[in-house]
Order: sequence, then C-alpha cells, then structure tokens
Amino acid sequence: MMDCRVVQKHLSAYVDGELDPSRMLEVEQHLGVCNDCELARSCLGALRREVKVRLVAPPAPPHLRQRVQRAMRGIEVGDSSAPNHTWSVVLSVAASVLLVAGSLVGTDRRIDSAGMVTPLDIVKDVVDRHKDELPAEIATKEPQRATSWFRDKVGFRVRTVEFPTEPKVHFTGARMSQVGAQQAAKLYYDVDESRLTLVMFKAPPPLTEALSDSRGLERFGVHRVRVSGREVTYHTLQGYTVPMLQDNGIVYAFAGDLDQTSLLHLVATARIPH
Amino acid sequence: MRLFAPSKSQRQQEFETEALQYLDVLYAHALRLTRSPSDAEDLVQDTFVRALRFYDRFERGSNLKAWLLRIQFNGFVNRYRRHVKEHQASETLTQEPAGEATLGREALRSLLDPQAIALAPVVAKEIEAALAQLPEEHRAVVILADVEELSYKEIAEVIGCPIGTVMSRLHRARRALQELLVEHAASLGLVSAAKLAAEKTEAATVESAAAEKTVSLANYRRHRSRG
Repeated sequence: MMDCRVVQKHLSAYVDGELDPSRMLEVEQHLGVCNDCELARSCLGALRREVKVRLVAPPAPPHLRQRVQRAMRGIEVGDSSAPNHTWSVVLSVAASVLLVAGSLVGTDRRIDSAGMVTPLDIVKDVVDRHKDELPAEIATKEPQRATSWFRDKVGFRVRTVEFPTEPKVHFTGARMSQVGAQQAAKLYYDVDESRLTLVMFKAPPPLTEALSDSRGLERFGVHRVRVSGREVTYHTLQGYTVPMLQDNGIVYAFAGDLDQTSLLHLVATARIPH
Repeated sequence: MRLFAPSKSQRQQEFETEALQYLDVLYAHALRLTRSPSDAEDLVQDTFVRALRFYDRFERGSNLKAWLLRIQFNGFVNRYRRHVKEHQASETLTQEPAGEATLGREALRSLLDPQAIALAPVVAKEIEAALAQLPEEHRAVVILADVEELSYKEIAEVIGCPIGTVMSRLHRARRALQELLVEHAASLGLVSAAKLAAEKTEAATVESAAAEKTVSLANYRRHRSRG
C-alpha cells in the first residue's frame, strides 16, 4: 500500500486524470481509507476548479481581429521572412566561411542508435543556452578581454566575431558553457535591445561528412538561403532561428531574440578575423 | 522584384479560418502571461504572424490550439523575459523543496468551505493574487492545465519540456498556491497561527523520521550486499 507521502506527491496528477491506470487505482484505494489524503484531494480538486472560474479573461477586443488580419497580409505560409523574394533563391556558392548545421558526435546523452547526437539535439542545446540567460562569468564590453579569459578553458582558441556597423552589436560578456558533451564558449551580445547569444564549440569530424550529404541536411530540416551575397544555413526550433557557421573546425551557432530576417542578415555579414 | 504575386494561397486561407477561432483563447492566455492588455495584443499579433510563417510545419490533425499556444509561449519568453525578471525575486518561494512535507489537516481545512467541497469564498477571492506571486514557469503550467485544460503531454509541447517536469512543476505550483492561500486564511483568522505552527513541526518530525528510515534502509542494503 502506498504511504501518504507518496500518495500526496501523485495527487496533483490524480486530480488531472494523468496517472497511469495502475497507479490511479493504488491512489484511489488509499483515498478510500485515509481521511487526510482525501482531504488533500478535495482541496486540490477545489483549487483546480476555482482557478478556472477565477481566471476567466475577457474576450479579445474587436479591433484585435482586424489588427491580426492586417498583420498577416502579405505573409506567405512557409516563408519565414519579409520581403519574401530575398530567401527564395538558393545558390550553392562556397563562401570563405561555410555556414553549416550538421551531425555531431561525442556526448553522454540523447544518443541515437548510430551513436550520434542529431543536429536537432545540438540546435536544441544552443537554444537552451540562449534561453537560460545565465549571468556572464566575465562581464566586459571588450571582446578581446573575453577571448583571453577563455584561454586554456575550452580546449580551442576562442575568436571574436566582427559584426557589421549597422545595426550596432554590443558585446556584453561571456561564460563557459556546454553543447552536447562538448565544452563551449558562450558570448553575449545586445542588438537593438534584443539579446543575441553566440555559442562556439569544436566541430567533430562527422560534421564534414554531413556537409557533403545535402539530402541528409534536408532530412534534418536544415534551411539554406542566400543573404547579402552569402549562403547561410540555419535550423529553426521552437520559433528560434539558429544559423551556424563553421570556421577552422569550430562551429559558431547563434540564437537571438531578434527577428529572423535581421538575425540571418547579421550572421551573413559577420566576419571571423584571422 | 517580386517572384510571386501576393495572392492569398489556399493554405493561408485555411490558416486564417482555423487559427482565428482561437483568437479569444490566445488573447486570454496572453493577458494572463503579460498582465497588460496592450502587451497581450502585441503578443497575439506576433503569434499569428509567426504561426502563419511556420504553418507549413504544422502537422494536420494535431492540436492547433496547443501549437498556437506553444508559439505564443515562446514569443512571450523571448520578448517579455526582462519584465519577468522582476518576479523572479519570488522564485525562492517555490525553489525550496516544497511538496515533500504535506500540508496539515488544519491548514487544508482553513482553505475549504464547511462541506469541504469547494474553496471558502474568502480564500477563492485571493487566487489571482496568489497566482501572480508564483514564478512565471509555475504560473504558466497552472494556467495551461486548469484554464486551457491541456493534457500534460500538450503542456510539455507548449513549454518545451519533458512530461515529468510538467508533473512536478504543477505539483509544486499548486502546493505553493495552497501555502499562499493558507497564509491568507491565517491572516484572516480562519485558522490559528499556533495550530499551523504545531502542524509544521509535526510534519518536520515525520519528514526527518522518514529520512532516517531511508538512511537505515541504505545501511541495511549495504550490510546485506556485504553479507
């Protein structure tokens, strides 16, 4: 028989009808004989009902419908940018910096049957690293100070990325991070009040293989567009666009709160000085 | 130069008809998240625009409402996180290992009406204020579960986390809500602070006894494995 502590832990899922049948039965049996847990159940049930009643929101104001319809005008399904012709031409031009998203190996978790972490896992990690908003370990406006701070910390040389003059990209700080099982350097930027995160990590050899297999990339939902004269490869996940570029065996992955058009433009015009 | 005439495609038409049904749902949800009508409107507009762009990735037959809520939730997290930080001071409230000790009988009774079926009206009145004190992640799961009536699986998709996390967050969030409401009940004199304190001590004793039990069980196992 379950004890009260275990039952109470499951009560919330019980009132939501989300327990699996066998556990549900166990909880039910317990509730039949235990007044305290039955009281706790009543209380949770009452709370649940009351939250619904209390949080009734007013309907959307009438002008919102028109506003939304107006905003949707001129946007095509599957077209993740505006104006729409910018992204519709895809040319395969090898740029000096190759922008990629590919298969990476070498991690202790989420390993698929082939022993590989999928590109999606990597992208998810990058998005998570952006979302976690952990404070910078080194807060500085000077990228050079951060790159020397990283020396001997991540196992590769961290370089700064040079962005175009417009829009203004401000470096704000950096911290150690991780992508898959790889050590990574995480750099924070501000772009017009939006946060931009750059995660750098060593690209394992299979990345190069993935590159030569364009069908493989397509299968993983990788998009390629030509922006400002350069081909950009990116992934989208949870509404985030994650462009990745590779240079000298290091992957530079970006995630930001800025809109997709601006982000792709920014990445396409970024330079990694040597 | 435009490559395509800006005509409304069939898919776009379909999206408008299908998605606009959920305008009220999305607005209500946005209002609860942002707690400001103008921010809510901005967020909803943003949600529709993003959803339309990504509509080719929506799987027909899956839950459109949950999908739209997910896009909206992501949009909220991206855009309004800064404002949310103000509320993170209250995060500690539920960061404690809440939910391990159970609420005592007196505490629970103080929340319910005499029939022990519904919340006492004076307590129920306080729900919105209590919810506002929860950290955003916790408030979100309560709203998605109780108001939008999504399943745990759908909530997990909306907020992008495993089902187990939804389960434990909801458990903690409701637990924190109850605690806040008990505090309120105590401030109204519906339950005596002394009784509550006595219950807490009792619960703590039970907890530590349980912890000891676990330790001794571990010792027992260790001995057995040696033997």
